[in-house]
Formats: sequence, C-alpha cells, structure tokens
Amino acid sequence: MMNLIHKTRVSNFKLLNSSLFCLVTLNLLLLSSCKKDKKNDDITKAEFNKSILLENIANNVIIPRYDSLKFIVSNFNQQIQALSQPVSANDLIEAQISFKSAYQTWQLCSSFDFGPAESIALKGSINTYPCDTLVIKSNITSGSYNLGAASNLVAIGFPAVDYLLFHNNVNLLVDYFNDNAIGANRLQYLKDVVANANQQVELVANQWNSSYKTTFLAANGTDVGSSIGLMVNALNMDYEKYIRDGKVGIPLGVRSLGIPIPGKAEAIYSQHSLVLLKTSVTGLQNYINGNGSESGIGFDDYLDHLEAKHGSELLSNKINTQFSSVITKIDALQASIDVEVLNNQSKVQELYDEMQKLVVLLKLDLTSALSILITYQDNDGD
Amino acid sequence: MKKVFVSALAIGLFATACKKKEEPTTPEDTTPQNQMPTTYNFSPADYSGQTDRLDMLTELSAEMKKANDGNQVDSTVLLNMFANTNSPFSDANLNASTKQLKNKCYNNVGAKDVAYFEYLLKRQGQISANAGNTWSAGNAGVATSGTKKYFLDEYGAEYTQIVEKGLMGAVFYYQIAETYTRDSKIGNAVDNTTSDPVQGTDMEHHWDEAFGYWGVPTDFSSTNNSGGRFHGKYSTKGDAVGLNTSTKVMNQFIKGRYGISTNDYTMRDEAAVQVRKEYEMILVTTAIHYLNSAKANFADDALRCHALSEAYGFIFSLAYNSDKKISTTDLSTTMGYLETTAGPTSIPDFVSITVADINNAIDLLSSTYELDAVKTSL
Repeated sequence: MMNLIHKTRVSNFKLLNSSLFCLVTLNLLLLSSCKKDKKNDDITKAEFNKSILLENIANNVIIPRYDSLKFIVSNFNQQIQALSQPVSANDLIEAQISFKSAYQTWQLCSSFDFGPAESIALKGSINTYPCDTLVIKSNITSGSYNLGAASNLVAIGFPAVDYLLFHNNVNLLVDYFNDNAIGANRLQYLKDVVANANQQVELVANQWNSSYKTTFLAANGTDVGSSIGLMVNALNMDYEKYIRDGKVGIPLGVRSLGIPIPGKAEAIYSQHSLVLLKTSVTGLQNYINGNGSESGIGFDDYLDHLEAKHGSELLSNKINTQFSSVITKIDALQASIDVEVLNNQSKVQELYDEMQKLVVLLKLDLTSALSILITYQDNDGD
Repeated sequence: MKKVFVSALAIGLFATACKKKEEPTTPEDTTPQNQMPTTYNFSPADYSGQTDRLDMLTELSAEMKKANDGNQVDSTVLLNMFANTNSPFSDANLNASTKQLKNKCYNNVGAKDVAYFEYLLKRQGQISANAGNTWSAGNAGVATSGTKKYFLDEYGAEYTQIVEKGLMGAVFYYQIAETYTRDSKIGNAVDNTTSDPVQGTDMEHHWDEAFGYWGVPTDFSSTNNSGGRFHGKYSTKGDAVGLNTSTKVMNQFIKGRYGISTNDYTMRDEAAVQVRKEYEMILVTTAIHYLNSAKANFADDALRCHALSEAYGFIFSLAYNSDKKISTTDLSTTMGYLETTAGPTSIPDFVSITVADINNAIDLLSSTYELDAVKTSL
C-alpha cells in the first residue's frame, strides 16, 4: 500500500515537472512571438526589484510621515484637553497654530488610503469638508452624539475643528467658549472631536509600525491587492478625487456649470487652503519619487527601469515636469482658494487645467506602464 | 504550486494579447461526445422560463429606478410587475408569459418573504412622492454623487437595490438552492428516461432551470466572465481576487448536468452539494465587496448608502439556503450591524452606521467563509 502511494506521488511529481516545463517553454514562445517589434534583449533584462521600492517607501516616506502626524496631532490633543473655562484669547491662538500645523501634516498622509487607513476609513473621518455647522451646533446643544456615525462625518475631523477654532473676531470666539449656557458643551465638543482624530491617527500609525509593515513588504507583486497596486490606486484616487476635484475643481465650479462654490473649499475658516494644497501636491510628488529623508527608489526609478515613455520623453521626467507646472500655477495664487475662485477665477482655472494633465500621466500612462489595474471606480453602472 | 499559477496566468495574459494571431477555435468542436463538456453546452436544454423571470426583474428594477431621476413611481405598477398581473411590462412577451417572480419567491418564516418585498414596493411608491427633494438624514429624497443619483428612504436605504438584490436571493438563489438542486426535482424518483425534444428529461430540465437562474452565457468562466446578468454579473467579484468563483460554479453546473445525462447519480449528487456551496461564495464575495465600497466612500452619502443597500440585499440572501455555511445567529448578527431597531422590527439604517459596524460585518463574513486573505481586496 505504501509503495503504491509512493509510486503515485512520483508520477504526479513527474507530471508536474513536465507540465511546468511545458508551461515555461510555451510561455517563452508566446513572449517572443508577442514582442516581435521590440529588441530581443528585453527578455533577458533583470526584473525590477520591487521589494527595494517597497522598503524605501515604507521606511522613508510612509512611516515617517505617519509618525510625524501622530506626534503633532498628539501634542495638539494634549493642548486641547488641557483647556478649561474661562478660555483665553491666547489659548485659542496657540491652539490655532498647532491646528494649522496638524492639518498641513495630514496632507502628507492622505494619499495612503489603503491598509490600516482604509480599514478605519481614516480619510473620511479626518477630512470631510465642508463641515455642516448645523449638525455641529445641534451636537453641541444636545451634548449627546456618536462621533463615529456616518451622519456625523460632516461634524468631525479637521474641518469641524477649523470651524470651532477660527473666527474673524477672536474675542467673539472666546465668548462662545465661555458662554454660560453652551460654552461648556462647545469646549467639550472640541475636546471630543480632537480626541477622536488623535485616536484614529494613533491607531493607523501604530499599525504601520507593527504588523502592517510586514504585510506591506510581503505583497511585492503588481496584482490586485499587491502593495504597489494599492499605492497606485490610492494615490490616483487621492489626486483625482480629493486634490484636483475637492481642493480646486469643485470650489472652482467644474461641477456646477462654471459657477464657483467657495463654501466647498478646504479650511474656509482658517483660510489656509493654499498652503494645504501646495503641501499635498509637493508631498505627492515626493512620494512618487521615493524621496524620504534621502533620495530613494520610487516609482520614477521603476518607470525608468521599464523605459516608460510619454511621447519621446521619459515618463518619469514628464511627470515631474508636470508637477512643476502645477506648482507654478499654485504659486501664482495669493489668497486662499475660496477667495481666489471669486477674485481670480481664470488663474484657478489655469491651475485646474494643469492638474488635469497630471491625471492623464498618473492614471493612464503610469498605470499602464506598471500594468496596474485601476480598481477604485465601480464599473457596475448602476 | 505558485509558479505554476504565475506561468498559467502569464500565458493567459499573453494569449489574450496575441489573440488576433491565433486561428479561431471553439472548444465545443473538439470535445468528443463521450467526455464532460467544458461549457454548459447540452442539447436539448431549455431554461426560457428563468430567462423570463430575469427579464421581469430587469424591468421591475428599471421602474423603481425612475425615482432616482426625481419621479414618483406607481406602486401598483411595481406590484403588478412582481406578480405579472395586468400586463405591466413593456416587453409583450413577458406579459404573455405564464411565469412570475412572486410565486417563486420565498414565502415562509426566518427570512425576507413575499410580504417584505411587497412592503418595499408599496413604500417606494409612497415615499417617492419626495423624489423631487434632495436627500438628507431623516428625509427621503435623491442623493447625488457626481453623475450618480439614488433615491433613498429617510435612513439612507435604497429600496431599488434591496429589492433587486433581495429578489435575486429570494427567487433565483432560493430556487437553485432549495428547489432545483434538491431531491424533489432531481432525486431518483424524477423521470430521467422520457426525453422531450425541447426540454430533455424532467430531471435534465430541472437542473437546467437551476442553471438558468444564474444568468450567464453557456461558455462563462473566470477567464471569460463578461455578459453575465444578476448573480452572473457578480460572480466576477471573486474572480477579480483569484478565487475563480465563476469557473467553480460553472464546473459544478456542468458536472451535475453531465451526471444526469449519463445516469451517474453519484456525480449528480456531488455536484448538487457543490453548486450550492460555490454559488454561496458569489453572494458573500459581493457582499464584502460592497461593504468595502461603503467604507471607501463612507463620507459620500449617495455612494455609501447605495453600496450598503447592495450589501444588505446580498447578505440577507444568504438565508435562502438551508445548507448555508454561516450560522443563522451569525447571519442575524451581520445584518444587525447594518440595522437599527424600529418598533417591533429591525430596519436598515445607513445614517447612524459606523465604520466599526461595517468592519464587524466584513470580519464576521470573511472569517466564516475563510476569506480573510482577500477581504480587503474584494
């Protein structure tokens, strides 16, 4: 009996071996027949070492950025939790400074919406704007709310804090927080919203520093679910939907017959949307190039290895040139986006047009060069 | 093993890329008569009654969707479409058909029944009086995201999706899992000798009817998975993450029918068990897919509520199979994550739902169905 099993195994193994051989041979044949018009040396060229790219991006881009966000948000949280009535103008001005720096640091992490961040939908809970001041007021009045509920997404995160901490007249703001009837609730709400953001950021940063890093490095293919696939999908979605549309296009009026909607811009109370926009764009460029503290292996190197071209130019160069064009157009603006869409609409339109050109390079050229499937658009059509 | 898979995949890719150069061949031509076919290519075979019901659901769903464009829909028309009474369909063949969705719909305790679907159809008619309004939490209306528009009730539930996905479960899946792959329809007592020129033997016909509810072309597989309707269309969710769902379901349908036609009842009975098991994976992979989609679009009311309505329909559909892998308690817990208590009953609530609720639902489904490895990719 043992003998029989053994025999079967041997023959199975042989079969496997020979079929493997056939597959490999067939594969090579198909390869060569498909690449007729390309040079023969393509076949022998070493494969790009994706593990090095993943390690560099994890260690020198993603994790340092999350660590920095965690540190800054945690300090901000401590500052807010220490507030008590009566709140002073100085308290609020200090809180505003910390808030701006935390909001800016978040821009460097918004492209990482996969793995731990995706799992808790961090992006939605931390930066859904515009906030709904009616919902915020109603929560403050009732003093009873579940900040995790979908209906409260418009009443939490940085946009809610932006509303709670900023006003043209800081003395009026001081009065709000010290108001006999509602001041205590308002202060408590601010504390709860900031604590909630802090808790979520901490969770994601900690996962990147422990189990998820291993998972991320291990998924070193380019298939659906691979780390490269996840990164490319998330960065495209972030750039197209949140940076181009959210920060610029929607306030500009691209979805509203060209009629600007300044109220849909980011950070309308603190009025520092331009800084946030520039940080997110330069942060994305830096991420794509794999530069952390030092110049490292990034998507630019991967594209160069594949000799990916846009026209006659290296695609990596073309992408970086286009980033520069976008940044030039951002620098041409002076006030915050909500103001500029009204006073300088044509300049914002020029910015949007340059941003659109980058979508093509990132979503079509880059993904096809790397053979990555864009999966974030649901194609069901219903 | 992994290498084999990769090579096979690579061949698949290159084969597609090189397709133009290949000579056209059809697998049916080369399949000897005495071997199991590679496609659902049997003759005679007829499942036109199932196709009618698929078409009826298409029209019912389209009628409900009129609310998405701001129109009030007539619940009488919806109820007529459900029961095929008073010639409600635009396709005259459907009005003339003796088939209907209602009398094949699950109608008993323990799962969403006829009364539930009729309630949703009636309520769609009533509340779509507000279809001209913009949706907000607590107020029925149309929620918009980009070019997508969905009419939602005050809790964010999109009845169109719950009814469509729900009837796919309560009619199509229920008929497959509890009727046409069971003893009453394919057991040894069923005639398998008298062959009708159109339908084959009774036993063959019953199995074909099960296949017909799937909604796919006869050569459907994981590598050729376009052209499917209803559950056929959603079989691709598992394919996309390498589960080969379409091929697995198809292989069992082929095996069962081949077993019946060759009087190999062991083969038939194995396939009957397996087809239910593999088909269940279509529902659960799609449910997780939509839960992920809801999470990815959590801040977008229209997209979140739409995705959760889809997910809800797929989840409660799991109930329509007495051999379901998930326990009744766990299924009820999973549904509970998407529901709120309203009076004596529980209703879907996509307004007060949290990401933690969605994650709990995903985790319970993925651990039950051993999908932890792919749950984030679905």
